[in-house]
Amino acid sequence: MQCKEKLSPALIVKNLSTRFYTRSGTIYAVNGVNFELPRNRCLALIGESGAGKSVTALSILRMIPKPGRIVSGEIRMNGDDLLAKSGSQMRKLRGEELSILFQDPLAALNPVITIGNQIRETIQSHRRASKSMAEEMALVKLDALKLPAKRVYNSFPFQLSGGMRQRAALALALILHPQILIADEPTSFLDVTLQGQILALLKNELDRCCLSLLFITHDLAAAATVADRVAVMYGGIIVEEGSMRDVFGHPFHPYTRALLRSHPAFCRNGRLEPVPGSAPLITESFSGCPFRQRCSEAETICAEDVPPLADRGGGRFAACHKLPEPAKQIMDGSC
Amino acid sequence: MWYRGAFLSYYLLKRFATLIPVMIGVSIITFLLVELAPGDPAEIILAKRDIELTPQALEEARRLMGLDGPLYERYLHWLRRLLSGDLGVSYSSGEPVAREILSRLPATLELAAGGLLAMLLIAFPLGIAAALYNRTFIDHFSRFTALIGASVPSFYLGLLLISMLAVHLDWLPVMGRGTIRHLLLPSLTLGFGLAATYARLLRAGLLEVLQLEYVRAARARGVRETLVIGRHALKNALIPLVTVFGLSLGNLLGGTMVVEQVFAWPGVGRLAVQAIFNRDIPILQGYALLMAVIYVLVNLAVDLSYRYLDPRIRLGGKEVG
Ligand SMILES: Nc1ncnc2c1ncn2[C@@H]1O[C@H](COP(=O)(O)OP(=O)(O)OP(=O)(O)O)[C@@H](O)[C@H]1O
Ligand SMILES: [Mg+2]
Repeated sequence: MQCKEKLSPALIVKNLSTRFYTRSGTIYAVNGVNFELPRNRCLALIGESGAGKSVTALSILRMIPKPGRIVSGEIRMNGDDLLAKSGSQMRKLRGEELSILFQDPLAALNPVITIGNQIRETIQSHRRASKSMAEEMALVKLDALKLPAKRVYNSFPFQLSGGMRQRAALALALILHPQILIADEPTSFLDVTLQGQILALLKNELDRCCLSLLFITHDLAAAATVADRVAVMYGGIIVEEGSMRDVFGHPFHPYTRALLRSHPAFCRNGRLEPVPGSAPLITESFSGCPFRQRCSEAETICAEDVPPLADRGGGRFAACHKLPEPAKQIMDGSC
Repeated sequence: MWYRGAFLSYYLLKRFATLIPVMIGVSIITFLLVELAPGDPAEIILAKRDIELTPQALEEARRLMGLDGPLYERYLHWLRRLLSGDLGVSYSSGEPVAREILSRLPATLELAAGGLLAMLLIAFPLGIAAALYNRTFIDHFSRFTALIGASVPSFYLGLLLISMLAVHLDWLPVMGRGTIRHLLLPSLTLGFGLAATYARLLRAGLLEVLQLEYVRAARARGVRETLVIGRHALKNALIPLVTVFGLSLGNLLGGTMVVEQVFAWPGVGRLAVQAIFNRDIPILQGYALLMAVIYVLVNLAVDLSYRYLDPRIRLGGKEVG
């Protein structure tokens, strides 16, 4: 199926902030995140552990568990603000228009219900479909994901191999042809050969269907093979965004540079350097750049204002005080 | 598939094989009841029938009752009769024990079924509501109800219900067996005490399962909340509950005995209580055997349903929980 190229983004996230009000204090997980997910394209969201990637994903689905809460922002999909929708409207949207693929397929699939029944209940929760119609849909999807459809349909998750499980989970996420798929580190529980399989399937789905993919990952090489654009997250904000080639080829932000230097596939001179220091757990409302404590170029201004995610021309954005004055600001990254 | 069926019948065979030593043990203990009981059964039975206690009469009675000879011989003699369905004769009525027990068994089964139903009808709504409305008024109410159910003895609860619903309000019959209305109060009495434990266990199990990733994943697919609770969560929360049920079956069986006594319910429990007062050892033997058989069979059924609920055990051949 060839898709009509539409120019409007599939998803626009503006100034999203999410906090956890735990007993031992507030955790500022996401602090004014801005990005656009281009339609029928893949945006990779990368960053260290604790950067707030999963919380961003769950915020988009409006599935932040207690004691967490989305405190501000806008999440626009087809012009509607998801944060303004009612609980039952959101339920109808999940799975139908907006799906998520989790990290560990064994945990995400119910151990005592067959794959077939889990797919069927997903279909029947959204559409009027007879048992045989739903089964037919499920078999087609499983087959498209290169699984032995009949067998997988009748299997319980524990009867499948790790790679089959993740593909079954992918079938579940894509069964109703959602516009947007969020894949939250979908390959980190798989070994290297299976990672390649899943990535190839995701790419295939992107090419075949009208699917926009938000691909959350630690794996920069995986991001480079699948994604068109990349957003780098640090301390609950996006610090840099741009096309894959630009960002990985000429990173602007000191954090992006440090991140690339720490990865074997991207470090220039062959010497791996881990990002110095450790990722912060943000427990206070902060001012200034979240990366400044680990940044070798930090100056006084970095401690004063949160750097805005500013347009650097050529479809590139970066949030750093040290970069030359941007041409014009279209996004405001303060929180 | 054929091998699943073969696997299951092999499993059943294995389980039945392990029952054999259990049942032999039960039969030995039951047999020893007579030996350990104070008093000479032959004397008792002669006294009951107003026969003069002459040495000859005693000798004759002992021989007829299989009470002469060494212990193992008497056991084998008793076991042979048992296997042919002869449980002996009640000392007090002179009727065969098997007939006495079987004629009262339906009443007890009816009561047990009623009690179980009441237990389910109380425990499930209470447990589910408490989990869904965790730490709200509903949860506290359920905790309070459970506390009462667990701490008030069933004979007292039974009397309370009789005085309230049967005597004061005159809604239900006070005692006896007959219509469904007769069954209501005894079932409630029996079920309430049991329900308390299960409601709390179900609440804890549900709260645990509702935290799990697959529940979150089901919600992320937009699966209807009724299915998320009723299928994804409940099915997994039931697995540990079923095991507990097998273990607490003794409470249910013991419970019927008390409740039958309170409500003058003509079941085997009441028969057994009378037998205790009458030193009617054969009846007690029959009762003990019956309870042991029920206990063992229900636990077998529990094991099987456990396998049904958890396909990892049913199909994987894994014996871990
Ligand atoms: N349920 C929760 N309760 C309290 N704090 C939470 C919760 N979920 C996430 N957080 C906090 O929010 C911050 C961001 O977490 P998040 O899971 O989004 O990180 P991540 O970028 O996905 O990391 P990873 O790469 O390890 O998955 C972390 O500091 C984490 O401790
Ligand atoms: Mg994560």
